[in-house]
Formats: sequence, structure tokens, C-alpha cells
Amino acid sequence: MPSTNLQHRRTHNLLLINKLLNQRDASSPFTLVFDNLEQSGKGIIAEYLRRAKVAKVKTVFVSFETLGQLQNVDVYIQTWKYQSVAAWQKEVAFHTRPPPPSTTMLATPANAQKTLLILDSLNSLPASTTPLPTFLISLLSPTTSLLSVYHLDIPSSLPPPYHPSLLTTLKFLATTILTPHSLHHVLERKAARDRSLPEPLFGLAEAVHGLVVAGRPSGGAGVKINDADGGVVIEMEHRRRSGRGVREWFFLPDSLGTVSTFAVGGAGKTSNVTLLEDHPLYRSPSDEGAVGGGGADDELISTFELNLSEKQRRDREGVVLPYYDAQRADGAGPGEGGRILYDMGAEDDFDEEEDEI
Amino acid sequence: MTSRNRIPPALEAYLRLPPEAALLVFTGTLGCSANWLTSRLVSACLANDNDARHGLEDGGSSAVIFVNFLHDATFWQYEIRRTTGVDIARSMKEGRLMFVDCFTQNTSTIQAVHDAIAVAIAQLQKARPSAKVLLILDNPDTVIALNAATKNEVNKTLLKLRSQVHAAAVVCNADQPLLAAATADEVAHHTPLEVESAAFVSSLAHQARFVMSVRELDTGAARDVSGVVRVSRGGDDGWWGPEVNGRVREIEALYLVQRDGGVKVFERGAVA
Repeated sequence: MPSTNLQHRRTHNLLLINKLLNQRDASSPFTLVFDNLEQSGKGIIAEYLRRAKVAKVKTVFVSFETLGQLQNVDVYIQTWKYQSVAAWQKEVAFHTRPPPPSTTMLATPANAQKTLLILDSLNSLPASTTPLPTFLISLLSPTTSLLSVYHLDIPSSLPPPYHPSLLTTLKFLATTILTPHSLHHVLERKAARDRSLPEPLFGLAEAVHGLVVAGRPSGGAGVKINDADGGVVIEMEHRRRSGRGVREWFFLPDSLGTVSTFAVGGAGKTSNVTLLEDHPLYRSPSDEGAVGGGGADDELISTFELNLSEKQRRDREGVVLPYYDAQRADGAGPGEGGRILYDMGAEDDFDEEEDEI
Repeated sequence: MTSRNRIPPALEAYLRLPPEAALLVFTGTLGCSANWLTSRLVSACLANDNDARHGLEDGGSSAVIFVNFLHDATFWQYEIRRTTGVDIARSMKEGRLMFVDCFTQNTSTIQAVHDAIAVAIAQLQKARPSAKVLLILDNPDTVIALNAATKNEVNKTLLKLRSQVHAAAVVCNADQPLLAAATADEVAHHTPLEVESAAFVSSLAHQARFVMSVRELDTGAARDVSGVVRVSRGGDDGWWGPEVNGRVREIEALYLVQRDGGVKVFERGAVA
């Protein structure tokens, strides 16, 4: 039953993603966003910040590449202003340290001040002196969770021999991996899949001379999406404490339109994330029947009229087929003894010699 | 002909003073130079004082710091006058344009480059405290290509400088061999230089508000088309901003650089 399965996933996985985005119950201490130029992960970070503001979580933003006025950020650390790596690491440690013991005596874990620490690009980190895993783990604490971005299309130089690459290490360490995709590209890939065509590549992967970002120019062929339909498709991989992984695809609508309502309302806590399958542009016509619970009108699409009218149906039901007679069990049927039953038609030419019954 | 008319209408929305803290990235290739975009960006920011269309509603003026790694001031003075009709010598005299020459001057280390630009910024801000300064760097990837600094060092320097000015624009090369390492699953067979240059261009694009790339026509050279110009959103297209400006509109169009330096931008299928 596909519809029940979908309903189940809708309930459970939407709860899960909202729990992750709200950073409730320390559900994911280390969240990684793997983005590329075709779909930046900054929209996801902005959504985290928006929700952290509502939940009164302290946010510490460690910037390696983001400049300018940031919304919903409590502490903004610009790493390039520090002389050494150790200097800004000290600053980060200062802002994320747990409260002094005197206050923790009173504060229960439930109401302790939670901190969301954001590193906007881990790509610049390998150049630093401390090994990255050691550094990242040193940032975590029961009240601090870490959200960081890694750009997949910024190559890093080779690790020392016999060492795993940075990417492998990060994938191993992360408790949740979110991979943003462009809705436009997801739809184009799906359209190709549905026709059993090879899936198209975008941007740098196209290896077109001089093309850096493919984007979604309006002049392009294929699926047409308005800018109003903008948003991010999120591929989630969450590792539970038991080790079991949960994978799901979600759609996060563009938050630009809702920024002002959040600022004013505050309590307007909308859970606007949906499953990707529930997106009207992604859902294919055949899935739609399944979602609707399998209605009575499962009509075949054909150039022939395969349905019966009411009169045709009555006539068909009225026909008595001959073998019903032969199956009478009391032995009184005409088929007794293996005789052949044959009614002569008007056009039959009876041949005495040949057709002896 | 006034300079405003020399900027193709289709690109007018992009070639002007960007919002605060934004980074614009322009890329070209060996066969398709982005010089015509650079000269138009410089002239657009210098051309009209008090022009609301250039994002200067508050009556302030804009100023440009033009950092060059591949050409000297004479080249650009000629080029900008020829193609847009703006005389940058006058702007330099007025102090609205500072030309930082990293081409003929001995600026072989990234620290020297930083110091030269920082001095220019300080001078300009002293002379015109209210001016919104646009920092334009033409081909800073030369520093990477010369192996004078790593991508992380250039990036850090750029961020330091960006935090002192209104906004910045970077022009660099995006030929396929320079970018190939960015998509490779295994970087083992790429040289460190390939890795660094690919990492530099894509990390710039990740910080950009938009990326405007010019490239050759896919179908080969044509007499009436010089190349394809595409504008795509960069990695930082206003997710953070306090005000909702709306997103960058993405377009792709063809262009033709004419013999007199004028440029026509038109849609695919349209006649120049």
C-alpha cells in the first residue's frame, strides 16, 4: 500500500526534520550541510537561524566567507580579522563555553541556555594547525550543537598519505547530513528519469568552457518554474543513536517572503517544510491516484472505447453460456454419456455419410 | 553619446553599484574576454552622480578602487574611453577613481598587494568620506597562477579588504582546465596549482551575489555573435540581508562586441 507508506513517512519524517531544524532535544549535535554552487546551503542556515531566534537559542556565527549584516545572529565572529587560528578559536570557545558552575547548580539541563554554533565554510579549515576532528569535537558540549557548511566543489589539496580525506572524515563524524538541491534541477533530473534518459548534469559538472554556475536562466529549455516557486530541496541523512539511518527528501520553501511575518509575529511558528513528493511540481500524475487513496475512476487512457454502456452490460449478463448446462451434477444434463450436442443452423448442409451423430 | 547609452539595457540592472557588502564575480575565458564588462562596470559607477538608478538615492557619490594585475592604467584609460566614452583620467584627478597597479609595480607577495590596496582605500575615504567605494579587482587569480599565495590567503585578504569598502567585484578566468579540479571525485591526478585555481574560482562564486560569465558560443565562432553571457545567482544572493530586495534574476543572452567597442546584447534567436 504505497499511500499508507507515504502517510507514515509524512508523519514521522516531517516530525524528524522539524525536530532537527529546531535543534530540539539535542537531536543532532553535529549537522553538516554539503552544498555546491548550483544550490547554496545558506538558505538552510537562514532557516536554522530563524527558528533559533524563535526558540531563544543563542547563535554564534563563525564566518569564513560571509560578510555583511546577518539577521538573527547573536555573536558574529569574522575569522579573517584575527591574526592566528588560535585567536579566533579562543573567541569561539569563550562564547560557547557552558555557564559557570554556580548557575548550572540552579539550571536543569532542560532550561540551560542552548547554543547553536555555525561555521559557514569548513573548506578553509584544513590549512589550520589543529587536526580538524579534534577541533570540531572540542567545540561540542551538551548545550552546544554544531552546524557547518562544506562546499563540495571547492577541492582541497591531498591529505598526507594513509590519512582519509577531509570529506571522508566529516561524513563519518556528522550525525545529520543535509544536501541542498535546486528544485529546478531535481525536476529536470526526474523528467529525464521518467523517460529513461540519462540524467542531465549542471554547472561545473557540465564541463562547459567558461561556465561556472548553471543556475536556472529563464531562456533555458525544460521545466519552467517561476521565481515565486523558489525554494530548496533538501536531501537528509540522519543517523539515530542506535546507528540506524533515516533518509528522506524534503522541500523547504523560500523564506524571503516570510521573513517579515516572523519578525512581527514571533509566535507564528510555521512548519513549512514538506516532503518532496508532496510538491505539486514533483508529483507525477500516476502518483496522484495513489495519494488520493485509489479512487473508482482508474480509467485507461486509450483511443479505443473499452468501457460498456449500461445496456451492453445488461445484455452481457443475460447470456447463458452452454457449459453451465453440462455441469449439472445430478446427471440429468444433456452431456450425459459423452454425446455431442449440436443444433443445426439454417445454413448447415447435413451430410448423412459423414456427420453421423 | 552618453555613457549610460553604452551599457546594454539587458545588463543595466547588473552593471551598477551593488548593495552593501555584496561581491560580484565576472568570469571570462581565453577566447572571450570579460574586459568589456569590466570597463562598463567602472564607467557605470563613475558616470552619474546623484542618479537614483545607480543606487545612490541618498545623494552620496560612488567611488571606485580599480586594482589591476594584468594591465596598466594607460590600457584601461584608452579602453574605457573607447568603449564607454568615460574619461577615467578626469575621475582620477577628481579622486573618484584610484588605480592600484599591481602589474608594473613590484607587488609580488599577497601582503604587498593588500598593503597597496589598503593605502588606496584609506586615501579615498579620507578625501571622500561619504562616498560608497566599489573595489574592483581585475584578474587577482594571477597571484594564484604565479604561486605567490594560496587560495586561503587570497580569500582572507579579500575579505579583509571587502570589510573596509561598500562592495566589491572580482573579474577572473574560468576556462575549463582551470575549473576541472572542482568536480573531480579524485583530486590525485590534478596538480596542486589546478586544485588551487579551481578552489579559488568556486569559493569566490560561493561568496558572490551573482556570477556573470561570458563564454564562447557552443556551436563555434560566428560573425554576428561574440559569445554568450549568463548571469546566475551566486552562493550568497541575499539570504542574510535585513531587507528583502528580491533575488537576482538569472538570464542568458548572446552578445556582439562591435568594431567601435559598442556591445549589443540580445536573446537567442533574435537578430543583433
